[in-house]
Amino acid sequence: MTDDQEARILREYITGGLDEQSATDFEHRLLTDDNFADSLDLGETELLEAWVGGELDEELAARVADLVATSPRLQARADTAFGLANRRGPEAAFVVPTEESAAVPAGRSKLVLGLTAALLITLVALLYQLRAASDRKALESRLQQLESELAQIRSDEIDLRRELARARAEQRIPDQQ
Amino acid sequence: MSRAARWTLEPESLGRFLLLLDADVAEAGRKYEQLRQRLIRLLEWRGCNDAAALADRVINRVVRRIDEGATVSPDRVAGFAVGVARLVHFEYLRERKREEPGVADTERAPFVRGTYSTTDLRLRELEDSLDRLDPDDRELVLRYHAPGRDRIARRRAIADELSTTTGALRVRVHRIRQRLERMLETGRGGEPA
Repeated sequence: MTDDQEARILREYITGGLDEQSATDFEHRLLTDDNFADSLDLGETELLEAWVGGELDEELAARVADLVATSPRLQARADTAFGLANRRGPEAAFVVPTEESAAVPAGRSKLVLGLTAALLITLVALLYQLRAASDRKALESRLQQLESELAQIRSDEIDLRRELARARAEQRIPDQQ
Repeated sequence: MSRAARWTLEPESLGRFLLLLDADVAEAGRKYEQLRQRLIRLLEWRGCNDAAALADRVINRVVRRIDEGATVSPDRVAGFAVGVARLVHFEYLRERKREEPGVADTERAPFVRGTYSTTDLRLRELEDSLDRLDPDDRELVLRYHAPGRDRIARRRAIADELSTTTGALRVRVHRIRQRLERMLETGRGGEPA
């Protein structure tokens, strides 16, 4: 029997899928056959890994949830499976920072990724607009300044023309125009 | 009061049972603990609460039956224990129904696929235990369990790198995990599994 077969027979046993005689044989081998017991231990480990990873069908997942809820040993093993599956990388710290953290389902991680990308694009567009608005504001300010200077020049010109006219009247400066 | 209710486990009865398991005292103790651990697993897989107490009930009943004169040869102890475990499991279900009549035999807790919660403390304990592993074993177990979609291809690549098969790699990583779990168990003040 291969390890895969033993993992399968374990799944059938815990879901009640074995007939009476097969279940009795299974239990007898568990108590007497060291290799079989060890393979079942490996099968149990991989079953818990698949469970915390959300890879089991609903019926089996519900049954494993039942068993984990009633067994501190299985809870501890599930914690280990969860911890090993949720590290960022070989040398990184665990991802879970809070007391009651939960694994993020694969579908939700895609959604988070999509939302993050959308948020980044919006942020870049906003920055561009802000920058454009800032440039426009500076130009408007400069235009106002130039208009003010032009008005001042025109005002000075008018004053000069008046002064010139007065001087001409007083000193009889000949009109060159 | 029935004879079963009057019976208590005496050191002499336990000694006779251990002798049946093995003539060598140390080996008999190891076999006793192994039998107990496997009975716990069997009862857990059947969905029993407090499987350790039920496993002790199974062993006590086996010892009592032998004490009362049942003929059990050394190679039949396990088979005998399986039969008793089935009876104890049946009693457990009956007791549970009596205590909580509305509860079905296979009560199922709500479970959302792909979700699992644990505590930060548990994860820190795991991190500490990982640090206590041999560096090569630590790296291997982390690479083997690294998250990602290409898990099968990655594990095959690790097996190729180590010039072994994926099956042998699986067993090798399992051995490391067993050591890791023993460290975690003893670190929490429990008995090594």
